[in-house]
Amino acid sequence: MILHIDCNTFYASCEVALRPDLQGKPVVVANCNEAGGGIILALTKEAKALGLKRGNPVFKVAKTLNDNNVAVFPANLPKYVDFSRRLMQIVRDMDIVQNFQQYSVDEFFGELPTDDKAQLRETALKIKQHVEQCTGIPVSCGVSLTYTLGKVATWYAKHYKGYNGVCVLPKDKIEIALEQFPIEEVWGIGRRSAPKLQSVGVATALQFYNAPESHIRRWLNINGVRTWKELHGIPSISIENPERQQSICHSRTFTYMTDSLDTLRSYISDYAVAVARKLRAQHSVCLAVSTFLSTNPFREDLEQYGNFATTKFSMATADTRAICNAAISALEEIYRPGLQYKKAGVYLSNIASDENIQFDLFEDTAKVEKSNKLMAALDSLTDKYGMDSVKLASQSFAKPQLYLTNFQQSLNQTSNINDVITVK
Amino acid sequence: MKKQPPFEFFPLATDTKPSVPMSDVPVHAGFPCPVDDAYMQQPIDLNKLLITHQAASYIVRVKGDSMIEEGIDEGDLLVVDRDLLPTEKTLSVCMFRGEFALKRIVQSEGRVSLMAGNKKYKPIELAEDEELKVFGVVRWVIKKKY
Repeated sequence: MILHIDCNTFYASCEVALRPDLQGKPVVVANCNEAGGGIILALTKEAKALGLKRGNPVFKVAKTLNDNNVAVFPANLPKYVDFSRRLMQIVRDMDIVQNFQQYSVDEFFGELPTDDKAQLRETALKIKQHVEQCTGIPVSCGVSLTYTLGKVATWYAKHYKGYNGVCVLPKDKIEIALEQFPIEEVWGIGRRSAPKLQSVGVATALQFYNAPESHIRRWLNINGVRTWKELHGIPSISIENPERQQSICHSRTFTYMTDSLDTLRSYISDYAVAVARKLRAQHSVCLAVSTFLSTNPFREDLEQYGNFATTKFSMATADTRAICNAAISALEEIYRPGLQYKKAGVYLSNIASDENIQFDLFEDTAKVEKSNKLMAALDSLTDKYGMDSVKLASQSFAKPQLYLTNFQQSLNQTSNINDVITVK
Repeated sequence: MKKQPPFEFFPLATDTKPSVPMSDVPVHAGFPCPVDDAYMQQPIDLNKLLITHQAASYIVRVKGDSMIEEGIDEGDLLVVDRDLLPTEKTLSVCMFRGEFALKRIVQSEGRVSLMAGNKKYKPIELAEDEELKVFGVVRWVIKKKY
């Protein structure tokens, strides 16, 4: 049977796990941008009880945050990745789960070699308790025949208190489970396919399950059929070797509009650094960098403008400096003075594996070697000390403007000796 | 009789990255080097020695004087293992009243007490409805002497 582990309110849980003073308190993690804006990415149940939701723009709910003294953390991805890595290792060390794999930063899949329902429940509960003791992160576990059904089981584990965070969904209970399951929550269907299905009279997960395969094939693509098979208990999805992303993008909407080329340059540098890092994390190189820029479409009283430009390299690269320079020169190409800009971004395309780079005849291989070494050093520094520890001179150095009264610094208690927990 | 030295010294590993692939070693023609894998001794690896459950271990710094009679002083580093259960013989890092606290947990007649290692601090007896979260158990104390 497939075991699915899902961390509850993961980012917020990571921040709370090493802060005894915040246990049981409302805590929010947001992707704070240069101006202190951004949206809520994760929140504890105490924060949810205040009416806050994922996706709320921070500035819009600032009053609720401040009135209730909600602790607001800027997202600290390297820290969450460390928690995720630890969780993974802890489960592997238990030696009960086979093929235990990470699916995303807060989701894991594995196999339990038994079909006995009581035994499955007991094992999953044991794993849950051990993970929670060793990481401090609360998790929910679902057990069923396929990955998709495992996620259905986890949904029940999360939404019904009586399950105590663990739900085993055997073959004979699939139909009952799907009867009350929201169709848009089915893995692989999502918000885009749900209205399409509703228009042909499929409103619940059970109706989807009961529809003939030929209809599914007509309504949706091959992935829809895979989902349908998975719901019938036929394993049809592979989670190994996630596909290399074909383009990588990093963009932001600014809290305050800006007309300054210098400010835009520093933003674009930040975004270029972020995409270059993502590119190296998937062991890839790119041939083209594009920068796009736009004004605020909601401000019809202002002049509207949007454009993008692409810079191509003669040889594929993953060097932050090259990508950043290319992104900035593209920005300078499309920038028009006197306009109020609201959004910008950088995306990389023509992505390939870094194993088979086509060497440019005129490119010095020693130079490439040197660049690879520098980038590896850069990544290990930012892994260790955070994204802001090493910067290109063109990046932004401004601190978020803090109108929040309980804005917290996210410490790296597990990776920086200056940030470790202190005990009295 | 040969006098024993007061201390024994051991080689120490300072680099515990994954081992270097053997293909990096140049191959010599001629007389084979007798140093074979089977004869190689690994230097002592502090990471392996001090950290038993790598994914469940945390480094914690001590503040204050509450454990001086246990030989733990301000500034010492502790290797805390979350994958261990506390007993009366262990020192525990607790999450208690909104703080991390280093205590010995003692149970008697159904009551739980938290003991410090300094006569200055009286034992704290937990109220019946009070929650005590054990963060982890101290495995090693690292003390800087020079």
